[in-house]
Amino acid sequence: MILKRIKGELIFLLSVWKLNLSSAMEYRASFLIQVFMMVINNAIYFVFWLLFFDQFEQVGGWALHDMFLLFAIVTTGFGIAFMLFGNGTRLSSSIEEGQMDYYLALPRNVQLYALASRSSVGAIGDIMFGVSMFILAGHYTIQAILLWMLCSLFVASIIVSYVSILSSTAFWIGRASILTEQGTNALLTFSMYPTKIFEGLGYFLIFTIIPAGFISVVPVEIISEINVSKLVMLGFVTIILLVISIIMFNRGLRKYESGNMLNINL
Amino acid sequence: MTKEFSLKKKKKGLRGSIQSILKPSYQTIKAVKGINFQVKQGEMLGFIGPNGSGKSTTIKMLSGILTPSEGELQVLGTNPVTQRRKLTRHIGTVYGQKSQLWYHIPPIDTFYLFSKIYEIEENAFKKQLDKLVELFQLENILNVAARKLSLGQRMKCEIAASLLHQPKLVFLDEPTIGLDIIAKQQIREALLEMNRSEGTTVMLTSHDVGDIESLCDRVIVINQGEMVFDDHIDQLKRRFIHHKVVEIGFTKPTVVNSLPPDVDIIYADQMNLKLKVKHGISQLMEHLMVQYSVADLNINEPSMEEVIRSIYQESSQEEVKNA
Repeated sequence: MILKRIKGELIFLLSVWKLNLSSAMEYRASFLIQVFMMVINNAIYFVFWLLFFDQFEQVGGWALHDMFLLFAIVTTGFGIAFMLFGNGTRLSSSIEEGQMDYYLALPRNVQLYALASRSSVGAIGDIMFGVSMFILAGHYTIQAILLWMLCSLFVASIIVSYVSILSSTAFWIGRASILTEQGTNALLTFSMYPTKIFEGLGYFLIFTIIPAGFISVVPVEIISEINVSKLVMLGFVTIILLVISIIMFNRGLRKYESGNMLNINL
Repeated sequence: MTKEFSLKKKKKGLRGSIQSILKPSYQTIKAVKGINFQVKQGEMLGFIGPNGSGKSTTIKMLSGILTPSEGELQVLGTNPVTQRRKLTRHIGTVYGQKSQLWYHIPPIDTFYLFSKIYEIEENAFKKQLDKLVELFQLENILNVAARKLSLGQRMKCEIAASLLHQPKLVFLDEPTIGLDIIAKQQIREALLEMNRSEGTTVMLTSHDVGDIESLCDRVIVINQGEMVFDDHIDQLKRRFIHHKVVEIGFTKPTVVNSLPPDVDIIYADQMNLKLKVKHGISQLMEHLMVQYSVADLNINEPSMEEVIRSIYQESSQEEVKNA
C-alpha cells in the first residue's frame, strides 16, 4: 500500500518535472542564457578562492582541493534542490497571498506539489558547475563518486526542508518571504566557506538554526575520509529536517486562509 | 456551517501602523453564518449573492480548501476537512479568476499532467479527452500555448481540465466571468450535456443571470453570510419581486401628467411609456384608457436580472443601515 503510494507520487512528480522543463524550454534563448549565467556566476565566485589559495596554502586546515569538493557538493545540492523543487523560494508568498487553493483542490500531497510546481532554470547551471568541480576535485574512486551522489541528494533534501520550514512560518506570522530569502541566503553563504573557520557561536549556528555545516563540512569529510558513520549521521539529520518540515507545513495548513488574488501557473 | 476570519484592525497612517505593531487589535468577521443545505445527485444548483456574501468561502469549505470554524459538512460521503484527498479525486473545481492551465505550454500538456494527478487509466483518459474536445470545440487550440489563448478559449480548457477525471460533483466559481455571448453559450451547453450524459452534479456561482437561468433548477441566495433563499428558480421572482412592468405605446405624441399611486416611471418619451406597478394594474389600465390614446399595452414580469438586482440592492441598503 505504502509502496504503491510512493510509486504513484514518483510517477506524478516525474510528470510535473517534465512539464516544468518543457515550460522552461519554451523560451530557448532565455533558457540557455540562465543556465550559462549561473555557471559563470559560480565560476567567478570560485575565482576568489583560486586567488586566495594562490597566496595562502591552507585556511582552517582546508586546501584548494577541499574547496573543489565543497563547491562540488554545495552547488550540486542547491542545483538538485531548486531544479526539482524550485517553487520553494516562492512558497512563502503563495501562503501569504492565499494561493494554495490550486494545490488543495487536487488529490495530491500539497507540500510536495507546491514545492515541485516550478523549476529554477539556473539550477541546471548549478548542477553543471557542481559536476565540473567534482571532476576537478580529483576523487576518482567508485566509493567517492557514489558518496558524492548520495551526499548531494542529502544536501538537496536538507535545503528543500529548510526552505519549506522557513516558508511555513508564513502560516503563523503572515509574512515570511523576507525571512525565507534571508535564511536561504545565509544557508548558502555559510556553506560556501571552509567551515572550520567558524568558532563558538558561529559554529553553533551552522549546526542548528542555519544548518550550513551539514551541507558543507560534513559531506566534504564523508567523501574525503570515506566516512560511513558521518554518512549515517547526515542521513539522520536529513530525515529529522524532512519530518520537521512536513509537520510544520501540515500544522500550518490548518491555519491557511485562502485569498482572491488572480493566479496562473508559470 | 460557519466560517470566521480574524482580521487585524489598523488605524490610518503611520501612527496607526506603530500602534498595530505595539498593541495589535483583531476583529472576528463571520464570512458564513450557519448555512445549511443539501444537494441531490445530478442537481444543478445556482449559488448567488453579491460580492463578499460568502459564496466562494462556502465553495472552498465544501471542496476541502478551507476548514469551517463550526458545523459539520459531508460531500459525496466524505468529510472535506479530514478526507480532502479522497474527496478531491471525485470533484472538479473551476475558479474563474484562478487558472489551472500552465501558462507557457499548450493545454494538452496540462491535460496529460491532470491524467497523472488523478491517476486516470490511459484509455479512459483518451476517451474522455476526445469527448471533451468535441463538446467544448477544442481541437484547434489544444496545441497552442495557454498564454496565447483568448479568455473564452482558456475558460473552455479550464472547465474541460476539471472534467477529465469524470467528477461526480463540479464546483464552478464564476466560470463565465468576462466571456462573450458565444463562449458563454458553448460552456452552458457543454455543462448541460455533461449533466445529462454523466449525471454530474453542478454547483455554480455566477453574477450572470443567463448562467443561472439556463443551467440551474434550484437557486440558493446568500447574503452577508446567511442563506436568504433556497428554492426552485421560479420561486425567486415570487419571493423577491412584488411589481410588474407595464409598457404602453401611444397613437400620438403624449405627455403623461398624472398616474395612480404606487406607479413609478421607468422610461418615458412622447410615444412610449414604461412603468413599474406595485399594486392596482386594473386601476392603472382604466386610468390610461380614459386619459390617453393608447395603441399598445404589455404587462410583463420583471426579468431575472431585475430580480437579482433588487436582492443585491436590498442587501447593500441593509449593510448601510447596519453600518
